[in-house]
Amino acid sequence: MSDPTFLTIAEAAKLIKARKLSPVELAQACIAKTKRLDNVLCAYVELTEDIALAAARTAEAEIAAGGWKGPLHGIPIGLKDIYDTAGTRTTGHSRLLATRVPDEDATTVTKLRQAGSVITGKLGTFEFAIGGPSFDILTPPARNPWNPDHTTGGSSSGSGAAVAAGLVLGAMGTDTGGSIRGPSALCGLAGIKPTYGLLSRKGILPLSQSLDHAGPMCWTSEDCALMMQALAGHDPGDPASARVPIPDYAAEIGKPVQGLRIGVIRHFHETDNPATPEVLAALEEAIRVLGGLGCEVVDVTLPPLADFAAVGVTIMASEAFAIHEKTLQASPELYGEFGRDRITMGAFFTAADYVAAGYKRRELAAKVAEVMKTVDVLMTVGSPFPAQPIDAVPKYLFFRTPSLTMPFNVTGLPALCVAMGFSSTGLPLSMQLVGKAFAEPVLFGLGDAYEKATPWKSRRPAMALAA
Amino acid sequence: MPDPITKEAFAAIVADRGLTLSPERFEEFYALYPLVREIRARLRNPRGYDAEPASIFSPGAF
Repeated sequence: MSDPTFLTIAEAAKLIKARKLSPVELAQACIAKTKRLDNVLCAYVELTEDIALAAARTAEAEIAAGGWKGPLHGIPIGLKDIYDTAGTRTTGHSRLLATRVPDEDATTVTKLRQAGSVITGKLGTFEFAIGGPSFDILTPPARNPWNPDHTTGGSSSGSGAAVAAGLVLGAMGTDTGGSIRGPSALCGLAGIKPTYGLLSRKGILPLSQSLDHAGPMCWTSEDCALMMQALAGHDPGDPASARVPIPDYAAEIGKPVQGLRIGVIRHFHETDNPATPEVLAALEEAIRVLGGLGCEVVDVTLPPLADFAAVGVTIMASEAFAIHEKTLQASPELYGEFGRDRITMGAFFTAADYVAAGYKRRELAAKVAEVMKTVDVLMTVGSPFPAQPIDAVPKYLFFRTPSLTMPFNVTGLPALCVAMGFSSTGLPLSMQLVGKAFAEPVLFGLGDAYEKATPWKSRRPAMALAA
Repeated sequence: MPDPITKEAFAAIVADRGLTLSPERFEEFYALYPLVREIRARLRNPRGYDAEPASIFSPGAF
């Protein structure tokens, strides 16, 4: 085997189950690659090598004894550094929490450990999942393996870099307005923001509780399905946790997608927040590919993107300011500039604004639900442009330009980003597929079919190949 | 759109929120305040008394 760090989770799991791949050797390969590349990539806040190797040795012994637990057993997984980890720092990538060591794991981390995952450490984030890319926070920001002069997007920035470069086979991100899907799009991954309430938020540092979602970021849609199987389920510790049956998330993998009806939200990416010509051309080609697979593709119209953005920004900024009010008043100097100022924007919305955003949120969700009765999946771009230079990301971008990902935080619908090619400069491009509530298997099946029909998943960042 | 907010009125908001801003940050947020008003305006449309916000309290959850 040439480089096990570039196996998908599905591929590695088969080899591990058959005892043709050692979890210890896989973990060692990921750690060795991290040591070679992370001085440039800055994907990690903290690599927990000893913990990872101990978990890998345990997994290897369990599997040797006939106790294979499932597809995540022995698989190296990284955690965005807002997931609590018992005995290991969880900092939110902030100087404010530089020495914070939780007593308990987040519920999702417990689930990953129970599935036999090898947790490799804590991955970089925008400060408190909002402030970045920043050079004035706890450690430098993650860089994009496809071109380290460029951002990974955020806020699950280390997760994006780590999966693309093969430092881990999967990672956990969180998504309040696009923080799983943005880095997935800009790093060439598959990343899903699941239906709101499907994955527990307990033990994850909040940014905005009514918009925060946990979710996996992987190389393929199939790998996202495998991770979701271990992660989903009701958690009484999360007041928003849904009580729904948990399906087989891989049920649609490898199945025909013929007859699926896809609604393209053209006004989102053509007029409301126009994508670059390269991105638009790639999306049209993706539409052609999906049509060739037997999908029926139609155009649909939703309310203006700016309406979703107004709701999302008002709720996110208001809830974030409520969380950080005391520390922003007392110790603003401990924040990085981007995090401090983006959160401070929440101080200028009123209680009536917040409630009005709640009214509008319900109205928008109802309108989207009406459209969703006519299609199986909605489609737009994952990002309107490829990754920007890391020092050229505007501080108030999210407030000034309506986000193409925020509508599905506002509505809570599941949304999967899938790689759909590369820019002329070699940076990944991405589409966004949106499903009905709790219909994640449909998205994984469609993403998988597209990935297998196109060559994009065969390419990895040159710097990671050479490592 | 309402008249531009005066710097004195904006300073009162800043003080009420308990924020201490440098002169540069004060000017930055003052310049951004029209954007807050634009966002605010998008949230307002005619609604009846039966309108419900998305975040309704559910006592059964406790």
